[in-house]
Amino acid sequence: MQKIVVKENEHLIYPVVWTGEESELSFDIKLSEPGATITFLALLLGKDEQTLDLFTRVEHASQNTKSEVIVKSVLKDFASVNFEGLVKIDHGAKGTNAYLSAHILLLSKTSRGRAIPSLEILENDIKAGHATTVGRVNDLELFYLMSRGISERDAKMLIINGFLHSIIDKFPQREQDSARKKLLVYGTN
Amino acid sequence: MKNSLVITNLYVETKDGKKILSGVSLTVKKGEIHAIMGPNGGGKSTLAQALMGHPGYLITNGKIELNGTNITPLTPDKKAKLGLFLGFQYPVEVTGVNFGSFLRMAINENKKSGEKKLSPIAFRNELSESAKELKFRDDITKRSLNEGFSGGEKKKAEILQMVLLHPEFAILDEPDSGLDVDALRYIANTIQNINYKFGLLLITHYQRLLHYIKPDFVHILVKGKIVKSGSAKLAEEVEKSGYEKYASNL
Repeated sequence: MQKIVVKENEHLIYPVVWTGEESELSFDIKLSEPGATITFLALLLGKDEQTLDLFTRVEHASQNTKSEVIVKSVLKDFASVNFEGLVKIDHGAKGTNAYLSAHILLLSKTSRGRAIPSLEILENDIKAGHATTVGRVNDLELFYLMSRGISERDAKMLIINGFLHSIIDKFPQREQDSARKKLLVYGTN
Repeated sequence: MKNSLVITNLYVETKDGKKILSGVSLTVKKGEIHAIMGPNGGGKSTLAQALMGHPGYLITNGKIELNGTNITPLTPDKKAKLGLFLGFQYPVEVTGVNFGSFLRMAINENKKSGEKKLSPIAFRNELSESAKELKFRDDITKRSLNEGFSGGEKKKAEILQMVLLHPEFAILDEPDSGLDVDALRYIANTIQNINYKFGLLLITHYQRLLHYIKPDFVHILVKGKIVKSGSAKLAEEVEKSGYEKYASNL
């Protein structure tokens, strides 16, 4: 379990890229002082028989704190990801803004994805939301791209890149480059 | 047959077995414009999409030949490479895929082997020329493919793709639906300014578009069959008297 504490008016961007090494990752994030902000980004690229249990817990323990948890995953072969994300908003953490999203794109019939968000809210004056999807490559998107002469393989790569574009763009510059390299390796293997 | 798109006795049904087309035959030669008209549910869009290889439709009988090659079993990308283009009635939004880089990729894919690939600068030049003609308000190439495009922008972006991809045969599925008069004129002008010989299959509900783009042939498609073919005059007749008399003959 990785513990992360965010202090007063600190804005932390915390990117994680998973390419199959670990089978379990968990993060315990505490926004302990007023104005603490975290953007937690998890990019998960799974293949073969890789599996991951990912757990995140974000605690809003002070006023005007903000959290954004974004999980984006593509899975091929027999890979599977199980994500559980908890957001806890303590009593007195007024002005909290919390958002959690997890989107999993399955590239094979045998890959599996599960995303379970949960919110525990003990304060009224807050904003909180979540969104999760587990889906497959859209046939119509594929048809559209292919109708312009792009091969199925390249069209899928475009769709995957497009799907992951928004999360990678939020990474700090240096991590962006390394994430793109990992994606390239993932896509061509 | 060289320089032609030949559709012979085409039967098409949906994946769940609903029969839509029952024996459509049609020959489009390069340099010709064919308009397909017909009532809602007659099979116009199915014809357009099945020709390109839409995953929701099954061709159960008949064949499609492009310049003498049987393309019926080919995947959409292979059909495109042989020179077929479909302008979608409802262009698909693809999140996060940049329109400009997609377009350049598509253009390069369609180059014959040995042909020089388009450099980013050459691409920009070609693009801005055609984009000017279509009067886009914003630079759509910086945006995600069709995402957040207005109805008119989507339709114009289809025509833009067609112009830049230089197809030998283009099928345009209701390129006029949802367009205001000005946008309609821009796309009609753009199509008319294409300076090489290609075959055009134009699917439309209304005669409106045919005032701008004069078809050589008009076909009426009702209940999955071409029930009448004629000259541009046929479109005028239909506008006056409707499709009902063709439907009742079946």
